[in-house]
Amino acid sequence: MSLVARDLDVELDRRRVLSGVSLDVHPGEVLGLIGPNGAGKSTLLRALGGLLRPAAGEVAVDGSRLASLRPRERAARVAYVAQDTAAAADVTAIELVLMGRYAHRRRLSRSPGSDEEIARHALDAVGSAHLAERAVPSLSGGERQLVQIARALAQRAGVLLLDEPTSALDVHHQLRVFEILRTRADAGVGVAVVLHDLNDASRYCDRLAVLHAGRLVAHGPPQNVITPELIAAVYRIDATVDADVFGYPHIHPIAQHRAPRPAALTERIA
Amino acid sequence: MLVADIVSEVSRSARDDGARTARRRRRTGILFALAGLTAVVFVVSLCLGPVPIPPGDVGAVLARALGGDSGEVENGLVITQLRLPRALLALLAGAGLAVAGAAMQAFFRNPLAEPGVTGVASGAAVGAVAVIVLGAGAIGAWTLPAAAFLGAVTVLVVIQLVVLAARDRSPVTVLLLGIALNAFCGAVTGAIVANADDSQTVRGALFWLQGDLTSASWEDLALVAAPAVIGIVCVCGMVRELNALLLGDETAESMGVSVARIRLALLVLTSVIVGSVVAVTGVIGFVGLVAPHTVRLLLGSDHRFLLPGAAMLGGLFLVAADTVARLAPGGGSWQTGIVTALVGAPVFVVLVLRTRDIARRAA
Repeated sequence: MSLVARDLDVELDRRRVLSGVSLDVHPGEVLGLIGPNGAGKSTLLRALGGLLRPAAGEVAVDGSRLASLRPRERAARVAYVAQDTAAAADVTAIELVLMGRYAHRRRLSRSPGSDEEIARHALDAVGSAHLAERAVPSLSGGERQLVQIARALAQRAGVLLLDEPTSALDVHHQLRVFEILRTRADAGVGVAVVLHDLNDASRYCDRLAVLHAGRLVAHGPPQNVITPELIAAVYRIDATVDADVFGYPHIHPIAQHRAPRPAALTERIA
Repeated sequence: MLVADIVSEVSRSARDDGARTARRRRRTGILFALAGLTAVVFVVSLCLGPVPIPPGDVGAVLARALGGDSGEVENGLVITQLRLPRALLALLAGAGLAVAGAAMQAFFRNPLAEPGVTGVASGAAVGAVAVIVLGAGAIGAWTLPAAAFLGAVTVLVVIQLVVLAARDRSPVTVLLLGIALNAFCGAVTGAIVANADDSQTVRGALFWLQGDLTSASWEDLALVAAPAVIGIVCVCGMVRELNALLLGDETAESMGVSVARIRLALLVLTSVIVGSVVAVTGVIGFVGLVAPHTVRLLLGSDHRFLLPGAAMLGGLFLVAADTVARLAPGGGSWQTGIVTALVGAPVFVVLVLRTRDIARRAA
């Protein structure tokens, strides 16, 4: 299932947050959204998920405009994991994951056994089957994050959007999340993920989209995108870029720029 | 997969199933226990009062009334005309306030939201008092709950608008708003009562305002039964959506819940319930706080269990409170709202402390 965004403008509090962003999420790929704080990454992800109404432009999934779909229809196609998963619903992990089946269930019908099976499978896929009967408030931040990802997997959507899914996780669980995303992509799901760690983004994503001040300033395979020039213009730091042991671009930050950013530089990248 | 893995997988899944079944049994058991306890308290409330009536006589009177025979039984009229409508009204009002409280707590994602604390009940009271004092009731009995509904919905809309404008639905904001709205609505009610012509009307309005079931009649019950029951049933039909709201608006929306529509429905239904209850009982505080929170401790926050549990406990609590009010020390009669406040205020303080504690740990 492919997700296509065209000429998106998004305003929050009458402030332009995204301008003219066009981006595709292809089936079978992991797309990384990167950029400095406040660049509009999370806003773009929410717009891609149909969770906020763009001031201009549109998002379509397999040819259907997201805005024209009913919430359940949209949720059956696009799943989303928010950055803040602190919600303290006093339910068990398996109950929370089962909520991910909402879009597939009829009103007032009992949860069919297959839903429970799908939920358990999703929890197993994130390596958290042992947490099934634990109460969510008793879980650590990382465990909660994994349960939320399992909830989105249980939604069985063709597009999976995740906002910094590894921010609360240790290295072991970070690797697990990236493996899950790869497995889902290999199964034909289109994955878009907001990441802060550029080296993770470079290693685990097939394509990167770089946002700066609400504009898409570069996109393409990590090898083409992660360059010292782009890092300098967007993040205002000096850095060297070499290849890691697997051949992916690896960034070594050196120092931050003290002088104000020349406007022309950003324009040039754009 | 190694044999050891398979064995551990099978035993884990058996353990999970065991834990699940045990939890389900426990929840169902607690719901049945609540239902049984509610029935017991209900019958006890029919027995107790200035004139004690043995349970056997109560049973006989009820059986005769149900059989359509109103024959001569000692104290039969006390039960059928005074205590039965009063207990049924307490049951319905308690269930309604508890369900409205649970719905508001999900709506504002705020553990302290409750019709009384937030000023929604006071808003309903303004509407109801206006009808009583201005004599608009002459148009038709329905004007009372309709005006109370309008008052409740107005206050709820104001809270929602302020919360949206301030981008802050924290407990503190909603509580501060509640103080302001309660004061404002209290002032409006006071002004209406003070300018009433008839001193008898004024006394009646003041007594009723404090939350009272003394004069509950079959007519009162008939007036509010339909809107209150429909409101309660409709909110109970939204359990999955209420559960989804626990995860935050954005996540709920991404799961396929039409958050705006659900919020509008909750706003209207809560107002219908609170408006119809307040129209006949006056402002009875804390039921919407005590019942859902106690049930949450017992059953967790899954609304499939929380709502029916809270409805039963709310009904039970108000029937018990009304019975205690009837047997008040000193021979006189307390208002029902006094008893719920005496129990509810300390519970509220404990909840405030716990909420602060949670907020501090989250910070």
